[in-house]
Amino acid sequence: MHGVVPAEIGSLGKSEFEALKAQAVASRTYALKKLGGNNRGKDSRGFDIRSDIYDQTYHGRRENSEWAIRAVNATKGEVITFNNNVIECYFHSTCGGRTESGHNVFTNVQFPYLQGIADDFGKRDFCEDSPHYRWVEKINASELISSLREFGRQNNNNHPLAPGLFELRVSERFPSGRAKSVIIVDGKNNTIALEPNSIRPLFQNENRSLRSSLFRVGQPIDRGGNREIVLIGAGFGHGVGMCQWGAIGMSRKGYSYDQMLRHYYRETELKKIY
Amino acid sequence: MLFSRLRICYFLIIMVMGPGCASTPRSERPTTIDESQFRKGLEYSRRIYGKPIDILKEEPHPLPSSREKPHSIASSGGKRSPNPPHLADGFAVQLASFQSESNANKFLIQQQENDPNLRLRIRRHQGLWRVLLGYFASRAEAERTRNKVRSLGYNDAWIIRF
Repeated sequence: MHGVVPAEIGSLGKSEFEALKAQAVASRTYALKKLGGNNRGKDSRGFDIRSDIYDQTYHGRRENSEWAIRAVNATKGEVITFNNNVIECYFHSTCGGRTESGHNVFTNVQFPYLQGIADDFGKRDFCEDSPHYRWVEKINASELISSLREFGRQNNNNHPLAPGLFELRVSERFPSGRAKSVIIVDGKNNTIALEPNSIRPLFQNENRSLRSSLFRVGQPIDRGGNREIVLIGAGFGHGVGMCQWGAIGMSRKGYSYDQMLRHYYRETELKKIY
Repeated sequence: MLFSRLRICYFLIIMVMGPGCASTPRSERPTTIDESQFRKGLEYSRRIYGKPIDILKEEPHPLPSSREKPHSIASSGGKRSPNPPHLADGFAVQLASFQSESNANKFLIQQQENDPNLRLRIRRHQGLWRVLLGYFASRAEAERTRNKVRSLGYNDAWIIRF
């Protein structure tokens, strides 16, 4: 945990101590729930948890992680529970103002404690100090078509997209505002609809996924026959569970770590199990 | 010219404040939020969940989900403010202010189109929509950044407390 907490939320200071404590409890809960997750049955990979963004980032101890170490020690043994069970404790960088319901992203399970909520107690959004709170991405249209064709090949479903001008719009949204379905129309009026989980990987820019599916499509830019799609968006990550920058904002405003965790994981309890 | 100045300013801010803008301790502990205020906040947060956030307000034809309708603000009996708790103070450097939120958004988006990582944000403060740079726990830190911003030609940059 001493190496996970600063890698996940940053080497923060005294004014963010409560956020560090919230991250320590969330990371501990996530890790305990995942024990054995990659290490069962014939597909066992010989380990429990990955040390990157697919589970939790781990960078070892850092010189300037004094407050993170204090936070881990101050919350020793504390985990988040629902009906006396350790929860599936998802978290992400920046929600942009609305978190997402767990079942809209991880569609196989209904998580009653992972409700979508407004990250706002009547003033401004808690995560508005994040560098990803609002953003603009420009994506080259021909590169997007190539990505879609490659995606189609990998999924044995050749998308019938022709080069040329095309239309792109969000056709359906979740209540949080995140895109549920995106429609793309090519120059020959062929149409495809993208499902929620393929939107962020397909709209990648400079080899990284789109920061969030909470976006709207702006006016395209035409540069000498080369069209750029403009996406105006909010947040970074899947949007489920605790917003790390929101926790930082709550900490700066005087909320305690247990209040943060009850805000992001509704109807849960903190328990000290060792 | 404006964009390149802002970019320089941004890197200066990053250098001054370090990663995450969050490594500087506050001079004093923030006010603790009591449980009753917190519970009002929880209820408010749940009630406004379906309200569209600012970036979607300008969408020409918003298409809400057909299965899950957003919660109506009107259906909450018109009670929207839970008397939000007093929030601890902070400081920021203001680069521009506008009468309307959409003009402030346009300004912010113009800057971010040139540098997507630019740490600008918008806050409504004393009746104006203000485009702000940075978060500072103390006035002294904010003054240092304001002076750097002014030396780059932003003579109107000043500090606000929120």
